[in-house]
Amino acid sequence: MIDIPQIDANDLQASPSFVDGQLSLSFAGSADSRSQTAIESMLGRVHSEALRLGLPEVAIDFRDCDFVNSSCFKAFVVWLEQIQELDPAKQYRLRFYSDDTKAWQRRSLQALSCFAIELVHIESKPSRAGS
Amino acid sequence: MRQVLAVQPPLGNIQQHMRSSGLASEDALFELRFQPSVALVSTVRRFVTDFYRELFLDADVSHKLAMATHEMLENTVHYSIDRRSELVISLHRVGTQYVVTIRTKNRASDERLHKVRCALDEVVSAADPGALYNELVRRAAKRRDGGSGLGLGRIRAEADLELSYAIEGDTVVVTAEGRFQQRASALSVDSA
Repeated sequence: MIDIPQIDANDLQASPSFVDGQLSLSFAGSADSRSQTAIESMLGRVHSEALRLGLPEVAIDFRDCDFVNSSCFKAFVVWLEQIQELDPAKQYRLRFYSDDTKAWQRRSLQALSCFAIELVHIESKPSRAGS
Repeated sequence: MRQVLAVQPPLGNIQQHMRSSGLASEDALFELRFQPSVALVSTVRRFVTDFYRELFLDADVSHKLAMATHEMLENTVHYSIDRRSELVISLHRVGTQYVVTIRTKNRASDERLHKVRCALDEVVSAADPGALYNELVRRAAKRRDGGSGLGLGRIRAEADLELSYAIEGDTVVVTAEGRFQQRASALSVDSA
């Protein structure tokens, strides 16, 4: 149904899922420069699939993520830029789930919200370990 | 190249050392000279994350300092002309706070020195680190050269650290410094 590669290398796991019309990405571990190319490639595929399926929203779950360096963070900025450049009717939103016990996640994601406030929604949720 | 890791005092005796020595000029000091790879940078980040967490008993402070350490070291990996980097982390206790200093040192090309000087001047002098970081994010969206230009701005905006730098010859030294409070439970252990 969806054609998106997963990532499982260099301390990072990232996996897509498509359930009940909801496309989601789950990130776990640490994202440093070694993962930059893989993340860029994955997000490029997600963008294509979101457009093909005409989705209104893609969810990104960061709760199991321990670290994202600035190079990998930039990949999300570029993704948002690509969405912003679309015709408004084709634009879709990104819903980020952050762990409410990891303040850095909300802090870092806030910069994405400032960049594209109309496209980014950040939702704090309990950590998966405690749920 | 010889890889050097100096930790003073031994990690397991940090609390004991602070109790016995009172206010030393440096209550803890790491010095690391190595040929880093990104994988090694992540190893160092995990190590300092555990160290900071043990010291501050505060996962958020730990993450801020580890993030800054990682971003600064990754810069040395990407831009050192001889693949050598130095990292010094020192902690100096003032009352119930620690002054944390993270310093990296590497040699760089003239072109890189010019770029790093421009980037650092902008970040160091920013009156509003958050506003600058948002501007850097907007610029990053347009960059297609593989870099992000975000690391230094992120350190000021997200880690509550001030930045400074010095360039001497072909060597650049970048310093991040800030004050962080120990959690009460850490203080009670420390003063026992």
